[in-house]
Amino acid sequence: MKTNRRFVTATAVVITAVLMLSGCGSTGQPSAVKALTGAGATFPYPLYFKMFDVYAGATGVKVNYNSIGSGGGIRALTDKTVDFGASDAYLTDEEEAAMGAPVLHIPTCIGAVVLSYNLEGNPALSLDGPIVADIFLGTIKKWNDPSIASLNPGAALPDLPITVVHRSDGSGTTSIFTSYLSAVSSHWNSAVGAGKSVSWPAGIGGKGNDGVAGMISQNKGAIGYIELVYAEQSAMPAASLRNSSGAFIKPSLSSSAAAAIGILPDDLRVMIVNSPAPDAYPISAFTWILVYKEQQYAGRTLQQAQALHNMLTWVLTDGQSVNESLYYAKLPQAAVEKALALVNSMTYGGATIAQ
Amino acid sequence: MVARQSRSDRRELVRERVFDAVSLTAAVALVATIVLFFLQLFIASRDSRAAFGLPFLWRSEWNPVTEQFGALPMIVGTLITGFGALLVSTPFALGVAIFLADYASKRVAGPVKSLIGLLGGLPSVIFGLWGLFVLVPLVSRFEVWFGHLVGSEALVTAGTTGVGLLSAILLLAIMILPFSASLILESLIVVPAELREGALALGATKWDTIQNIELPYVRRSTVGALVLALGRALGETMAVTMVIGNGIRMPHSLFDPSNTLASAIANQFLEATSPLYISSLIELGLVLFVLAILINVAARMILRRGVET
Amino acid sequence: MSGRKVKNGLMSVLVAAAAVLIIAVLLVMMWHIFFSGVRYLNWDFFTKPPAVFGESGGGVFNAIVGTVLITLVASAIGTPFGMFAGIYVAEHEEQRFASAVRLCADALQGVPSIVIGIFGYTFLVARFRSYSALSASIALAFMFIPTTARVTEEVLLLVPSSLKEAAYALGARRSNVIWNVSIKSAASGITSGLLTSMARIAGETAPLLFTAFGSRYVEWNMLRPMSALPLQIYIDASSPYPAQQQQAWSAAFVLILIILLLQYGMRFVISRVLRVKA
Repeated sequence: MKTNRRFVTATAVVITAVLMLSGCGSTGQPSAVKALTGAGATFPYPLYFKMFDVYAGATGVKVNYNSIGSGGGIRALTDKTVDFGASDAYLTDEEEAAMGAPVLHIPTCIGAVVLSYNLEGNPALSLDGPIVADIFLGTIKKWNDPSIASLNPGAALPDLPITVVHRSDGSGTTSIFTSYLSAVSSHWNSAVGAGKSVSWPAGIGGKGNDGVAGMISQNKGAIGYIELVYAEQSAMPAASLRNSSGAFIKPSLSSSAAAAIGILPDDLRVMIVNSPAPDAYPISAFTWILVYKEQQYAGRTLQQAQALHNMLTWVLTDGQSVNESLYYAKLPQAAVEKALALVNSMTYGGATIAQ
Repeated sequence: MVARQSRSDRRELVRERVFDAVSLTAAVALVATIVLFFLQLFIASRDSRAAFGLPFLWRSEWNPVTEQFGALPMIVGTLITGFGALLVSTPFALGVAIFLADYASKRVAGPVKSLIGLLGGLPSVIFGLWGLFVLVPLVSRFEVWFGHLVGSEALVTAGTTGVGLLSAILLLAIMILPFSASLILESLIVVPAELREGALALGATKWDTIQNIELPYVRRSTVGALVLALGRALGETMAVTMVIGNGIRMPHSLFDPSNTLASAIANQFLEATSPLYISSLIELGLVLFVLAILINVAARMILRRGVET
Repeated sequence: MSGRKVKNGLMSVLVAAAAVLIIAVLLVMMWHIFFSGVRYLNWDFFTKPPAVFGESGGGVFNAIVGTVLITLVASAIGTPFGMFAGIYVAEHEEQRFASAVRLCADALQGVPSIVIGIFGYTFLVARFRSYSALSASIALAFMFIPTTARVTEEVLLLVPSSLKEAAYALGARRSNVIWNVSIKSAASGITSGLLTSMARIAGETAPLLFTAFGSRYVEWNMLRPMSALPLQIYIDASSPYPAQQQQAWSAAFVLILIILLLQYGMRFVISRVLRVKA
């Protein structure tokens, strides 16, 4: 009897303690919002990780960002389970319609998608759009294929099958890469098309930039597309590509930033692949943070909206100094100005949030 | 005195009523959970069921760009990995169980049983981690060797990565082994000693006894255990997701990357944006849910009848 | 006669070979997990959240906190439901509805964890518009309830009926008998069942993918996204950075420690405590 009662009491105490513990975080702090949640693209993950680390140190606001893929970011914002989404592809008209309210595209940096490979000695490679398309279509099967050899007279290309590695998850990186392939190869455009996840005619899938980079580095003869930063950080080789003005360009911060030079639309919803700029690396793109223009939804408070507004402003100004240390190209000044105008157009209950 | 007696009596009666009501509520809640699961999955997969109907089950295209969805590649992947794992692990599970029941001394059997129990309790994600970094490279080497052996360029070209159906089958086989072996062992242990000793006294060899007395005795419970193990293998998520390669086309060989119902959901659910894509993934979940329930109930019925006879 | 002997010898060798092979594979696995995990352990690993990319150090304190909180809350939610459902089935053993409940508990145990993840997302996360540790706990409670119900039932049925009859003969009421006689004598069995269920849900990953979501910060608020060890292992394992792959192995080691502690350590302590008190 006594044992039993003590047993019950102990259980009750544990349960109450746990519930109280879990409750204490949720009460209080009515004025200052100390936490924001975001989700989406894997490509800017290292940048956001570092930026939000600096931001937490400077302001005490903890921004929790999870890289679940651009598709996931759009999905999370549509379901309103996060404060902001992040994507490497701008919303299609259909996706924007599903959101039910206007969404702002705030670019944070410019990235490049590179073709990385794993060959004995990793010789420097030059490729052009149609060859890359044929490799990913599975019609070029071996490394010593004459079309590859003709662009790389100096390199010793082995008689090795090509293992194509692509993304298995919905991804803005895939969207950038397949828009490029669709732009340069009519065959690709009709057979596969562009999108965040496509039906790959060849190869194996890895999850995230991480997964693809991992599979490339584990397999001799592999080729795959990853973001420049992942190639740089894990010291993987990246092929030079022929751009639309005929020059072979190595992917780099400056050659990808060069792709954004030109006229930008005010909503910054623009793809800059296969850019006409003479120094541009052809697979370059913005990556965006996505937020609802009108912040009063699903029970959000003005404080949450303000915290989000402040964070975005910081990312476009002070935060930009983080970019290059992590191999992300800074936004050109013209893009920053347009982006700040977008951030300042955010409203709460119809009134502007900007203080 | 009398009044007080009846008051405390009434209080006890109330307490009894409350107790009954609470336990009945919990029991009803348990049944309701199953119904709730089914309804939630059924309702949330509405779009997909409206678009594809029953042929969803045998359509072989899974294409998020054109929004054409069919479950066949995942169903095939699930069945191949599940039955493959069962096929690989059953002889070993039987071997280990017989070894522990009939051959091993107590000093050997004790530690081996704890080892098996320990592995049976390991989380799926840890099997996945081991599979990804230890098993997959081994399978990859085997693939290259095998490709050269049969002179199949296609086989070597298909990918020397090691991720694919074969790795998933082997990993699953290791994962379900502790489970099926310990279930079989449990039923072997309760074979009446008189039966065994009687046969031995009549001059039967040890194997004769096992073959003619013990195995027939535990046949039904062994089948039940294997069906339960199959159910586990079919629904296993994380470990398979980590080694199967996430191909969305129909597999042509054991080395091909593929997907099971569970791994397709784990990989694509959070990233799906269009309502049709999401509801198709949920319908995969519905298929998996129904499959798992059927297999589990079948296994329990086999086992229960085994106990009664 | 000699044919039978040969067969006997052959089969004995085969059985022993199968057993030795499997034991060897299992040992190699344990060895891998143990040593790969231990190699990179240090104090920071238990006390710090993950480091920023490219910087060394850091740990999985965020995930340890998450696993402990999520598991405790899930058990707190699941225990009353599971125990009372188990009591119901044990008390009404012969009835149709009780066997239906038992069948449902068995079926629920077989529901794949990813299906519970989908349920958690569509039923809780999408509805309440937020990823949260609490939704993960509720999802895990659905795995906790059926195992607890079955264990409670099984342990209660083991209570000698003479004990119950004696209590009834003394004029005790049914609720009293269950609560003070049956449960008391079954307490250690039920507790160890609860601990086993806790150990099992502590290692679950799939239900957390779409609910707990993960966080790089040490989070104490159950209503916010939270990390957990299985989630951290899954994410780190698919990373190309060696530092994160190592973190995955060490996190796996820590997770196994927690599971062993729940399964064996706590059980030992509790059985000692109960025995001393009784």
